[in-house]
Amino acid sequence: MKKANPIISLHGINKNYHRGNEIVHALQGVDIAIEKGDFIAFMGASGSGKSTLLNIIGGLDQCTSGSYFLDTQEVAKIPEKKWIYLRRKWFGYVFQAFHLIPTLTVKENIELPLLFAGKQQLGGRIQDTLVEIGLDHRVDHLPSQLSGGEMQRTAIARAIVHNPPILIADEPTGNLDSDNADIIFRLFQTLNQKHNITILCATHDAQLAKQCSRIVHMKDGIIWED
Amino acid sequence: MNYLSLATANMKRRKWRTFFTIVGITAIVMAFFSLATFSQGYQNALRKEFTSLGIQMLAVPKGCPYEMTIHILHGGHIEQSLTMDQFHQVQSHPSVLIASPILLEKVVHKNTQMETVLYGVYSDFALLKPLWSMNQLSFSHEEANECWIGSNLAKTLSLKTGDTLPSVYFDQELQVVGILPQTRTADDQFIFAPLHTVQKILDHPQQVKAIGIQLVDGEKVGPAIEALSKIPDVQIVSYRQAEYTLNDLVQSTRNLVQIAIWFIVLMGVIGIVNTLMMAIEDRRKEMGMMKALGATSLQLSYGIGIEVFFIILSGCGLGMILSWILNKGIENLLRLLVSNAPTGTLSFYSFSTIVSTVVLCIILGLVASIIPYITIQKISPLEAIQDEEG
Repeated sequence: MKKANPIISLHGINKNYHRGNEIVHALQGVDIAIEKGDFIAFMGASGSGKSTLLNIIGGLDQCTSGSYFLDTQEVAKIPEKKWIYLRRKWFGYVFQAFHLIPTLTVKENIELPLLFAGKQQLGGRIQDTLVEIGLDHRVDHLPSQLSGGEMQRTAIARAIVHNPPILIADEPTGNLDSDNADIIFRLFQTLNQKHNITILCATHDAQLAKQCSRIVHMKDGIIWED
Repeated sequence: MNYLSLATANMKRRKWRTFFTIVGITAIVMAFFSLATFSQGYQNALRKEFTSLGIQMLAVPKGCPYEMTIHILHGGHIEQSLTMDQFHQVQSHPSVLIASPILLEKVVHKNTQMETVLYGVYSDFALLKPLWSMNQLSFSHEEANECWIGSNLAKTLSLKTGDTLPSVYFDQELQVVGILPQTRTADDQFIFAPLHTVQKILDHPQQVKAIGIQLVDGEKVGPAIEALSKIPDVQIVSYRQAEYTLNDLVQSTRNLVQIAIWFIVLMGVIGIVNTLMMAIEDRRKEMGMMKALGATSLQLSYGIGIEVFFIILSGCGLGMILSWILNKGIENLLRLLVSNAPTGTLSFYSFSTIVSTVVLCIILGLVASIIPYITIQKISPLEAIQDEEG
């Protein structure tokens, strides 16, 4: 499906990788266009290719073939060194396993993207973000002192502190109970509606997916339904 | 937050590993710094001893001239002797300004078994000694039962000018007519008496063990050696030759030790690389995540670099301080290993030695960081994240 002015546009994306002697076709000719402000749930069974697709969109992995336009720039084959700068500008990431740095406090974890982008002067953003996600009372706590929901909210704060236009969330509620999963999705909705952040979220949870503006079903490396 | 606080948090994560890495670096720096300071200190001490001898050359009996030089500096038994006739031949040579005969032998305190050296010299021997700086030092005559005593020995025996040195070292009492100023050389422990008195005490009539020579023209050492060497059964060794040869002997030992030290430094580099690689493997997933958050390999390496340099410079500082504190013990150990090592302090701390040690540490850190830097470059954000999830 091709849209008028997509922020992301993929055409004929294939991704193959080796597992022993076997070649796995993780994505097979995926076409998708994503507009700014979309809140999309990618659904599908394990191995359907949704995480691989998100990784390629987020620049964490490269496709084997096909073309990928990020805004107006073809980025399918640009090297990792350049992707670092694209990631800083365009993307925030949230993963199932939180990936917080255990030795850093909540505030320090959230500050990392600003440190790497050399934007420590935007430190005021941290407090605003913490208030927005409801963790302003946990600023100096270490990840080990937080609940699962709080850890994921910290990861979300870290993903949005540098104002990325796109948030990629790969199974963000996979390690959370239903109450916390609801909180996370409500937070996503707020970010999407209030800040117009484009959110691409892989999930198994159909109930949560219903809260998204668009649902993409994947199966065997292709988009089955959009 | 900055890279320093990030590095500090990481170092605190594995406190014991950080601690033992610093201990390892400290040991390497101690070894290197001690060798460097002792090397310089040894040369300085040796030069001071030769300067304290106050001569341009020595005439000694046939044999190993350098061994005899060491015995004359530190006191010891020299088997061969020169005769007074040979002394007069040297003395009467036109190139010679002062020729001072020296007879010496180790003597032992009958009660304490403490050793010292009895020197038989003429009064003009004092003129050769620049560190003695005593204008009025002389014996009443060359057969007088008198002596000058080194400052440390005088303290040990509680003697002052005018006292009598009892017959505890040999069967002759001597009147103390001078206490030598402290020179921080072996002289501080010795007894100096008139030559003919010592010849009688030691029962070596008409014998001397060496002749200290000062030339009329100090620039013409070469021709003087050539001329004086023609006297039968006399060898001439210049102060420069002796100093150079003895330094050279020490240099050989030092080279061996240096090889060992460089081996230790290499082991140290491998140790640091190993520690860094373990730290990187520990944090591989975190680094992958940091790359996903926009960190470049250079930024991650910078963080690791701060850790490396904190560890290296801590070890460097501690190593130098400990080396300085333990210096006396190491000096004593060196004296056990190197017989006839010069007296006085053997360690010499110069600004250049300190700077060299710090520079070595920095190079060590840089070399040790190369492989970890390459490893960091290869970490993919995806690989690290999938490792945990999969």
